[in-house]
Amino acid sequence: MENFTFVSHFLENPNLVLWLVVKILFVIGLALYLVFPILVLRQIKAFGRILGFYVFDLPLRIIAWTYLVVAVLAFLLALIIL
Amino acid sequence: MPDVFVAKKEKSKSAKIISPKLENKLESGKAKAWGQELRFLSTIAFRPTHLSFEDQDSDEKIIIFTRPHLITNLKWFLLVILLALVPLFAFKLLDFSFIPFNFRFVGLLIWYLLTFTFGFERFLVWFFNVEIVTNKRILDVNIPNILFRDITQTPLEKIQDVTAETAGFMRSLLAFGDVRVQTAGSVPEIKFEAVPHPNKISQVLNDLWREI
Repeated sequence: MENFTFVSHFLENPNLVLWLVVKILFVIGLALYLVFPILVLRQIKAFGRILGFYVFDLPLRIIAWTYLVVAVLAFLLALIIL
Repeated sequence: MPDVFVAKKEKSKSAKIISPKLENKLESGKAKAWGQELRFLSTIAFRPTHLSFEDQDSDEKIIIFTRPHLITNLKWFLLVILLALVPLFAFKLLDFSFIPFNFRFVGLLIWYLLTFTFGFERFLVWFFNVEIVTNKRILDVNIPNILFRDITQTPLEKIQDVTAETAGFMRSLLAFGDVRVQTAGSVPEIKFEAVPHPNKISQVLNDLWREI
């Protein structure tokens, strides 16, 4: 019975359905997007090895890790507040 | 029983020793002015310290390290600034009140995340796009984008022709351009794109090539 009210509540408000769809799209997009910072980290590591930039790639690695953390936080935030 | 056949010991491969005359030529004058110390944003370094590459031989010395001129980053840098300013103007000029606040906030976060991604990717492409000249070979590392890398190397003996090209207002003003190295190897041409001091680089390459 409770489920039925939940569904009917959504059907009566088309706006809610729209925002639910947008939320799902945002969350899926951000989840897929998490792959990119990981890829960047792997590439920096690979190039560090190939070119021996052992001193110079440290700032890059710090930025890439921060980037990954921000991307994870954005995903969690979208999951919680939307 | 004496050995009938004894295989000759293989001579160990030694590095091409650069003659003192060329050594002096390379060390002297303008080449020295490029600086030996390799910094985070260096675009050219002569005999850089703190640099090595994966399959570098023990007797192999790096003579030139170069990457595209810093100014080549200007286009994407301006675009990133423009993209960062878009939401500020959009929120002032357009009415987004029909979008719930939480959606607006996450949307804005995604916009800046994508802008940062674009800028960071462009920077990495510039940062890792390097050319290294050693006393044995030329190493060209190209990454057209973050998902793809292409490393080309050719021995100095296979160089056939070296040309330096500086065309355009900005390139003439800031003294940067392309160096094209024609080779007899499987890769017909190695291109040092938008590198600083292309004429001097081609001079050094010519000197090394003549020596060999």
